Amino acid sequence: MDNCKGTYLKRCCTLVVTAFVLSVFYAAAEAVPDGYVEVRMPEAFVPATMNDGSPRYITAREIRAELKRQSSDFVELFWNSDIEQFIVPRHDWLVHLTQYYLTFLKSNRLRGKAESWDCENYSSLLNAFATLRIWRAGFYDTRGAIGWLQVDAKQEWAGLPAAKHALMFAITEKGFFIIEPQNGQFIQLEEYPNKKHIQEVFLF
Amino acid sequence: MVFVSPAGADAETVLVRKLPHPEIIAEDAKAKMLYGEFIRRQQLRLHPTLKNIVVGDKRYLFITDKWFQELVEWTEEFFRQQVPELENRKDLPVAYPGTLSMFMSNMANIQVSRRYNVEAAVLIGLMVAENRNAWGDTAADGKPRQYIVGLSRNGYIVYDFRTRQIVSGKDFVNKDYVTDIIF
Repeated sequence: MDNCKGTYLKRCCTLVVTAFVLSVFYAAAEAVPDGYVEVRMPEAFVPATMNDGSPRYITAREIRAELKRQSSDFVELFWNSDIEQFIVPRHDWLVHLTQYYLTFLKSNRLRGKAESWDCENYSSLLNAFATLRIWRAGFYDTRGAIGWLQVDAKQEWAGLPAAKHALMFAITEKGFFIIEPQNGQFIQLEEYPNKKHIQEVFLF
Repeated sequence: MVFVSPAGADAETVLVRKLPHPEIIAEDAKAKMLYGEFIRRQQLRLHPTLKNIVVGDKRYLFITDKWFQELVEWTEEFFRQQVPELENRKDLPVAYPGTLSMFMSNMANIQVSRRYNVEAAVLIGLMVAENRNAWGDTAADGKPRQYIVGLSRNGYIVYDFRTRQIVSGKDFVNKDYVTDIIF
């Protein structure tokens, strides 16, 4: 009986020591080198497609016309005139990108701070991430039909007060959307309560 | 276990160099800054050929030339890590200048918001100037050319992302032909 106990204890000790050694080994293998951080990247870009399967595009002129139609306060659309047309993302890819962004913000503990990290920054950084994924997918002579805009909001939307604000916008196969990058809410432009007060729009 | 794959594969998670430590300019123990409206009027005065300028109504910080350079290097390194094909291409993507300035600006503002107790932003944006005078190996051709521009210690700093040349605004050879600035 005592011999069984002794053998059992030895085996337990061996297992514990082995588990400890393995955990140290894996921790070392996973350790991030000094001066580096691990960053999870968004899903690969997926464009919306035409009936023949080719990627769908929209021009700045068409985007501008729609904004002008919807907003009485519309000032101007700013874009790089070297870009002839903008690639339309698939709607579910854009939703995933926005969810990724919320996780990125949370894991990097990014919170709003007056003037240095505000709504413009939330909107424009998500834009830039989208462009990187579009390049990664091999589309170099365009950018996404994704931008950001300034609005003098008169009504609260997506939990943010009625005030001057910056938001994302995008065109997908489902239409023209306004997106609040701070919480991932989407709304079609037609339904957006402050659509008449959209002012400057940026495709950068 | 977190999967880390080498850059160049369709990586899900990548190792990224930490952002460079922010360096802003102080005077009398306070961050040196300018209002957006002042910058707008100043640029219109400095560049008689300027047709469009877009700058927010925030307060903007002066940063060191060194930190601007580090932000350039970090951002371009990050871009090439995410899109390795950039290194092999003859021409940069058409949206490169806008994306570069936006990413640099946002990374800078992330650092400022984390490290400093100031309500102000870093000013980095896009500038267009007619290429009427040669700069280094870039011959003059009279065509509009885009640059990255930032508010730094000695005024403005100009970066040509195609040739990787950097110069202060006052020494920029085509400063008299600036047509557009978007911050």
